[in-house]
Parts: sequence; C-alpha cells; structure tokens
Amino acid sequence: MSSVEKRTTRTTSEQTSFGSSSSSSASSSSGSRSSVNISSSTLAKLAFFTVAMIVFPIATYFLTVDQYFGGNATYAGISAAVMANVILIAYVAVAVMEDSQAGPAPVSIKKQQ
Amino acid sequence: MSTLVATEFCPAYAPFFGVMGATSAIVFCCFGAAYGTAKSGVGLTSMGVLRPDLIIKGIVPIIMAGIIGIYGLVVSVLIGNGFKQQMSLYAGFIQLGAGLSVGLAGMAAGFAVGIVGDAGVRASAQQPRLFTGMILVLIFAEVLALYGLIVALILNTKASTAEC
Repeated sequence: MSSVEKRTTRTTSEQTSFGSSSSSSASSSSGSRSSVNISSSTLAKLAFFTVAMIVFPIATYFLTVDQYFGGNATYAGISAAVMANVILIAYVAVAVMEDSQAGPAPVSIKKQQ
Repeated sequence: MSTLVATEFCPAYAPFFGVMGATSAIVFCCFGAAYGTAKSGVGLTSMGVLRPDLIIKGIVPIIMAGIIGIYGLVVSVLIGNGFKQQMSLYAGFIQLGAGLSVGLAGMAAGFAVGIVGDAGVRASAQQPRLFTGMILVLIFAEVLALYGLIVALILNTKASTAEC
C-alpha cells in the first residue's frame, strides 16, 4: 500500500511542479512522447464548436428578434442564452462520448513511473 | 427636421449612462471570461502533458468561460437597441444598471469558473470520477452569470416603457 501511495504522490508532485517549471523539463521527465498527429475528426469537431460558439447565439438573437418574437428583445436574448448553453451541452456530450470510445490508455504509463 | 429639446426628464447627457451600461456589460464579462479561460487553460496545459487524451474533455471549463462572454455580448446588443438621441434619464439609468448587473456578475462567475476549472482538470486527470463533480461545480458557478443576465433582461424591459 505504501508503494502505491509513493507512486501517486510522485505523480502529484510532478504534476504540481508543471505549474511553475518550464515545459522542457516536463517533457524530459515524462518518458513518453505522443506523436504530433491530431486526427482530422478531432480538428473538425473543434473547428465546428469554435464557429458554433461564435456564431450561433448572436445569430439566434438577430434571427428571432423580429420573426418569432415580434420585436420583443427580451425573449430573443433569452433564446440566445439558451442556444449558448445548448452548444455547451453538446460539447460536453461529444467529449464524454469520445472519451468513452478511446478508453483508459495512458494508465499503464503512469504505473511504469 | 425635428428639433431636439432637452427637458428635465430627458436631458442631453442621458445617453451617456446607457452607453456606459452597454460598455460595462461587455467589458466586465470579458474580464471574467478572460480570467476563466486563462486559469483553466493553465490547468489544461499542465494536465495535458501527461494525459493528452483528456485534453478534449478538459476544454469544458474554457467553453463555460466563453459563454460568460456571450452573456455580456447579448446584454450589450439588447441595451444598444434602446439608444435614442433624445432618451429619458430614467432609461439611461436602467440601462446602466442592467449593464453593470450582468457585467459584475459575469466577472464573479468567470473568477469561479477559472479557479474551479484549473483545479478540476488537474484533479480529474488523476481521478476520472471527479469529472462529473467538476462539471456540477462549474454549472453552479456559471449560473451566477445567468442570474445577472436575467436581472439585466428584466431591467431592460422597463427601459422601453420610458417616454420622452
């Protein structure tokens, strides 16, 4: 049990030291290098959510203020806030689904350390 | 060509307060969103060195900080729709109050999102079951900005009933 505690405290101290030290010392001590290839699907998802976050809420406001709510700006503002939260929920759902597909891969790396 | 006459209830300096309200809505919300993004981004980049697979999940606090900025933008647009050259001082004061309410509430929420997001992404890399808890705390922090938005919307509807 003490060896498990030593391992977790070592990982904790390594991770907290990352907050102050430079990134070069961090990469030399990690012992594992991930390739620089980012899958195109991940990039596409990130690009979609970035554009959606910028465009959808304010577009919802301007599209609904005259057509749906007859000039009542309060309801249009509420719909813009709702749309922003919908995008957030969609992102959390996509992130959790992607995480459950990938599986706990780097746990073995931590155990080696 | 209508002539503009400054009365006691509709002075010439009334739009100043309204414009200050619109400005403070976006500026203070951006303060909060910037702090939230920066602090959560520091935690994310520190966590991502050892666990790059968790980076996509760790962007959630940054998106929540961005939503706080969107709240400020929406209130600024709403307030800006009510500007007139000859508007009442009452409407100007209400617009200032609306802008300050969402702006300072957004700044508070941004601070909370930043601190919780930083600690949360670092901790959820070591304990995956903490992710749900971090999301819950972030939602409670974000709702503070939503309260400011609701108060700003309620106030802004009063400004439209002012007559000059």
